[in-house]
Amino acid sequence: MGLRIPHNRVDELSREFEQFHTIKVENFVHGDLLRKITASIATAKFSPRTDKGIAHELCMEESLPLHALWVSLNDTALFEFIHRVTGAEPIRCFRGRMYKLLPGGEYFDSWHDDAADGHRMVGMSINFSPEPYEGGVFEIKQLDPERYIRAMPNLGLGDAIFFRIGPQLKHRVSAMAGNRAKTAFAGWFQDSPNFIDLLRELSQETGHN
Amino acid sequence: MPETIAPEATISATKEQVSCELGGEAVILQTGDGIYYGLNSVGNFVWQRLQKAPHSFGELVQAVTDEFDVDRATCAEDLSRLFRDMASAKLLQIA
Repeated sequence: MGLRIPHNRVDELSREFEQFHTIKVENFVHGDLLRKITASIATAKFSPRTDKGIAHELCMEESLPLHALWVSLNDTALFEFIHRVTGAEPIRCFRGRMYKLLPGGEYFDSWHDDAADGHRMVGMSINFSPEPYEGGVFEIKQLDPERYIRAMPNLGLGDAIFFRIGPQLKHRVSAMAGNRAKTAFAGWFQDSPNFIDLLRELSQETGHN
Repeated sequence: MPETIAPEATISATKEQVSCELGGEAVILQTGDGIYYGLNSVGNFVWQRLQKAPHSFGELVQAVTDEFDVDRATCAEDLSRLFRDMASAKLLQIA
């Protein structure tokens, strides 16, 4: 499948997630899937995307390798792993997009909770940057009382971080520095819709089979 | 009625696909043309075995008849039809 799910580390990772609301899984995407995705990123078109003043980023157009990644991420074995580590249930789909942040200040991601739609339970970001970048670090904090929880650098190709979504938690990606871009596939494990309904919905929108 | 596949024929999944299993069903993306396919619980039951290793057609018919309430002849016909469709879509090979 191209994903390395550390089922043997569930106890350790669930303790870490309970304490810090974040975990990292190294080499999560690997092998042929990783090679195809990194190759597609090198030639893909990215277009600006703005999220209500929260973020401004470049978003990658759809491609077959991205769809292959998306299918791989919507599997019962991964959902079961996420449930056992985070307690989130029922997980019915993963939705995400490949984005890029360039240094220079134009592109940013500010503190937000991702909880507004009520369906997102656990976030995930997979690093697909071909070279190490500076800045662009995932950070998470708690509200009421406000408390900075953790910064989570994620520079290894194919490494993934997972983080809890909730109204009492906010996260952001810090400002980019240096001269290299950050490229990551990020999104959410959700309790609705289920993946098959989502595919049907998207196929009706796009006219694809 | 189309001929059933020979019991000794080897059925194997191609590399031109990626799939996931959800709620007892399977979603398969054919990575050559980008078309999505769906399998019901019986199709998924067989597909999960093919994801692990090639199997003979006879072994798969036996596994399905052991698991589901279906007679051997009907199962062989249904699986033959399914596998030929999947071979046409380059999701599996029949050798």
